[in-house]
Amino acid sequence: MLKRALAFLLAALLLTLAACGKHEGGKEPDAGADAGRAGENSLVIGVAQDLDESLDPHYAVAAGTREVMFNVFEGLLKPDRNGNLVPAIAESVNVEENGTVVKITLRSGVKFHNGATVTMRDVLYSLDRVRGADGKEALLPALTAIDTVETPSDAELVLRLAEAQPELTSYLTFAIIPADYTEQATKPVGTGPYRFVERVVLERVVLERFDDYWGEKASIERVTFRVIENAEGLLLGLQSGALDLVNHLTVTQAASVDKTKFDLEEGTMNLVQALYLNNAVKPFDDVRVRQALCYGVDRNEILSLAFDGRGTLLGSSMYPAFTKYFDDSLTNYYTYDPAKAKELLAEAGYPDGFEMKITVPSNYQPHMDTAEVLVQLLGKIGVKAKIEPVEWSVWVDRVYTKRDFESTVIGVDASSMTARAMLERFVSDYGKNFINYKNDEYDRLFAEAQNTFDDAQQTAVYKKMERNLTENAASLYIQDLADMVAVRKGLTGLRFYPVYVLDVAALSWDAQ
Amino acid sequence: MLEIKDLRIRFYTRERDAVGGINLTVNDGEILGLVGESGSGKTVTAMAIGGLLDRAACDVSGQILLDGTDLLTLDSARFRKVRGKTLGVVFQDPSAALDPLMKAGRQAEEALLIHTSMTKKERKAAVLQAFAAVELRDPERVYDSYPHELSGGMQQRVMIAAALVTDPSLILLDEPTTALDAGVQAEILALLKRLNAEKRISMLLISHDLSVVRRACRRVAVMQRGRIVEEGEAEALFSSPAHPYTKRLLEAIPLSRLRR
Amino acid sequence: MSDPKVKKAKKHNILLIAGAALTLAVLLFTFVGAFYTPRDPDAMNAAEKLLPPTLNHLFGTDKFGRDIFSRVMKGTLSTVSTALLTVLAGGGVGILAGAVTGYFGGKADAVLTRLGDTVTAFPAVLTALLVVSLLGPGGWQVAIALAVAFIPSFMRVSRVSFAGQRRLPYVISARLQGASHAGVMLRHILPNTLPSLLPALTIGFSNAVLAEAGMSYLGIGVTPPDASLGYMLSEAQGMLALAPWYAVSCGAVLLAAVLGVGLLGEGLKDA
Repeated sequence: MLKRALAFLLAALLLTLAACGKHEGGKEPDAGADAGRAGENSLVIGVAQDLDESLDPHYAVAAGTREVMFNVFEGLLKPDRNGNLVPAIAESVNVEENGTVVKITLRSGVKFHNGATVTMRDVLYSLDRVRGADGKEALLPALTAIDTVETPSDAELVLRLAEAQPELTSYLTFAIIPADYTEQATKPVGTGPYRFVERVVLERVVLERFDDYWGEKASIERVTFRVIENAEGLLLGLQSGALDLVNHLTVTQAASVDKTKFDLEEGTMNLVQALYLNNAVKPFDDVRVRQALCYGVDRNEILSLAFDGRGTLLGSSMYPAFTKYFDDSLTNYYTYDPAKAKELLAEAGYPDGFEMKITVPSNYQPHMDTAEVLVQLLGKIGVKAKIEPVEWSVWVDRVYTKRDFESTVIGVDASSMTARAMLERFVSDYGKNFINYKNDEYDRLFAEAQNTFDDAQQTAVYKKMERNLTENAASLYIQDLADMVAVRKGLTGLRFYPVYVLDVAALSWDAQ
Repeated sequence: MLEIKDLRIRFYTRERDAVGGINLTVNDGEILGLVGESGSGKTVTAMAIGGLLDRAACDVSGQILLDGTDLLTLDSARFRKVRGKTLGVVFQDPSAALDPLMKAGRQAEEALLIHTSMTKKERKAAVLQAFAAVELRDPERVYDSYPHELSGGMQQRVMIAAALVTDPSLILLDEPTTALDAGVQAEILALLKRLNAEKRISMLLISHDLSVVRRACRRVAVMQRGRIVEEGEAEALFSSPAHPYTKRLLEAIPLSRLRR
Repeated sequence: MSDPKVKKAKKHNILLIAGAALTLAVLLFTFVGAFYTPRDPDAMNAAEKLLPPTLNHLFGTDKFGRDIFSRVMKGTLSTVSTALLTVLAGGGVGILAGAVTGYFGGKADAVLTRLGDTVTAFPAVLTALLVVSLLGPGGWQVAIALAVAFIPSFMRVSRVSFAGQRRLPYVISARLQGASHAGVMLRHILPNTLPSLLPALTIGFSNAVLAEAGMSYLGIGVTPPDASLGYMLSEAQGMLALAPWYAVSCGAVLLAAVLGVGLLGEGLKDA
């Protein structure tokens, strides 16, 4: 009988200990010798979310996929850390005749990871694929503006547009892939400084330096992206020596990082984090309700409670790194005014508030924390919110694709460095308009922007669109999250880009 | 009054009838003894009367008329109304037949609880009266006692009281003294005889022990291999048995040594 | 069958006393927490984040500046009530099912027993996961999910007891007095079954507490910002270096609950 009692004690103790020492998924991150990795010139990076099921670059949905595969694929142009587009597979890109002609000269001798040389055929194949010329859906609708494609020579490409498109070149970052290759989804082949080696779903993606890269070769030979969909697991990985770099850390996690072994870098995530509201669902179909939420939530509280005060407040679907388009006057368009919020709610027919559900991807601690604080803040204006945590894949399927949700907290990024990428999302008939925003003026403005050839004028129209989103409270825009990155001491070269990418080629180990 | 007419019971797994067409009558106010060894069919007959036969396992024909009602034709719901009320049963081993967790008085009341709408006070009064009738010396104390606190004889008296308390037409007793000491046996048998004489309650007493039956019963029936081989007044049977089997029963003691 | 009222010298049953004391303490904690907490368990305060235990905050504060002591009270309430609901529902259904199948046997018995075996083949948490995936996360959903997972074990204990007792003489005796099947099962067999059921119920309760905590820890039980011991433990785990008191306080209360009831069950068995 005493044995039983001891057994109970032991079991209960084990539970408490398990809370202390639990590792994600029952798998121990291999505590490899960190010194050993520097010596081997390899690197292990922890990522909080698995990549898309398909690694085909044209079909990538998750920002996390693009972040990693940035090192594998390149387009005719690619972004540099300042947000400028520099030639990659193209040697030069010239826009002529008032923006209706784009002349591209291909760089010679660029090799694919499978050894083949990049030819015009591959470029045309990739272009046709993304602009929908192969009969399927256009993956980059912006490129449907191309009227004709000519190839005066093996190295020259001429794109003719019916009307001038000042932004077209921004979209030339789409990945160039080999024409006859059908296994991109599982064994991606590109031209970037790293080539794909292997991928184990929900576990890792391994890349190796491509020694036949046309440009400056990367320093680190082998990179493993370890998928740990659990915030504590990532931290433990750092502490145990299994990981050398983890980005997108929460402030709490960053605080627990051992500063003797790691350096903490702060950038911005280049996302628009918001409480996105499904405009097609009651009560968010009423603009007054949406505005009430904007007035009733003190976003500074979110930053101070969940993010140690770090982060940059936003007022619309645009983040500050987009200096050309960012309109700071919108940031505090909705001042914190709970009285006005309650007034609007009463006007809309909800004098006693209402109930709502916030669907959040459970593996993203920043969004979970934001949601938790939001529940508190919304409670102050009589809105009872409940959090529904879901797996990432469920979020993509249910919220993003099927639009089956009331509200959600997520960060939205730009797949290409264009205002269009951030704003086209909310055009009423856009395929991925997951918040079901429906505003005729907005649609009209967007059409206008596509037909404005002067850059300054187009920028002005885009800014009007941003204002439209704010004034109509399309969603409750919160912030561009601070991006805390823990970098093992000795690893240098980390650069922050204005887009959601992780440039591994720039990293190197200090000489030991 | 109990009338068994041409009762035939055959189990599907056996070759011969367990009960091969017997006729038996217990008249009002009579104690009839049914004697036989194990395998004679007396227990099966008792089970048939008490409604404990698994009808899916055997073939039954004939009639068991209790006050005119054929028990064999009753469905379980209607039989329940008879059991414990019109028909009382006393078991062989009282210590096993009593729920160890329930007080004796409460158990004796159970039939009243089930079949009548008497109040608790009324039930208790009836039970105390029954306890007195079965010659329990301190009815109140017995009422509040748990079975294991009572002696074997007291337990059996409680069982008899429990059967009595609803004023049944017939009490069926299956080996009521087999588990008791010799002295206690005699007391219980005397009690039964007395109860029968005073209250005119019909009883069917089943036993393998001839001497038991002789002491309590006026009439006796002898069963062998599912048939009644001899029947008649107890004294006459014992002094001059007609059937050879009866003779053998009388002669051989203990009977268990007789092989069939 | 043991004699329930034998006048033995009363032994000092240490397990019973310790178990009862601990359980009582936890229940008191829970009960008080239902009506009063020293601070609002949901009130966030940026200035008071991750404070160690002080007089103001007996268990310190969490990452949002919320009072951990109050949250532990609410979390314990949630866990204990879920576990109680689980045992009542799972136990109720399981004991009833076991009683019926054990007593009557037959085809229903065979089918239900196989069904029970199938459910047992899966770990309880997995079964609960399945049910929660259909019902969604939340307190009472977890209770139902766990109840379903626990039914077979209660069924087994009850079935053995009822099957074993149905042929006993006193049961037949009661039937002969005219008791219905239900009457016999309720008045005679059930009381005689209690000694084996009580440990099952207390063990079931401990397991339910652990299971609920486990599910909340995994994020499929009570959802934030509602307080739940399991979820709080998962949060605390990430802050062991920064705020160890968080994990310790949650763990200690959980330990007390499980241990208390467990000891109580052990003690009752010997009583």
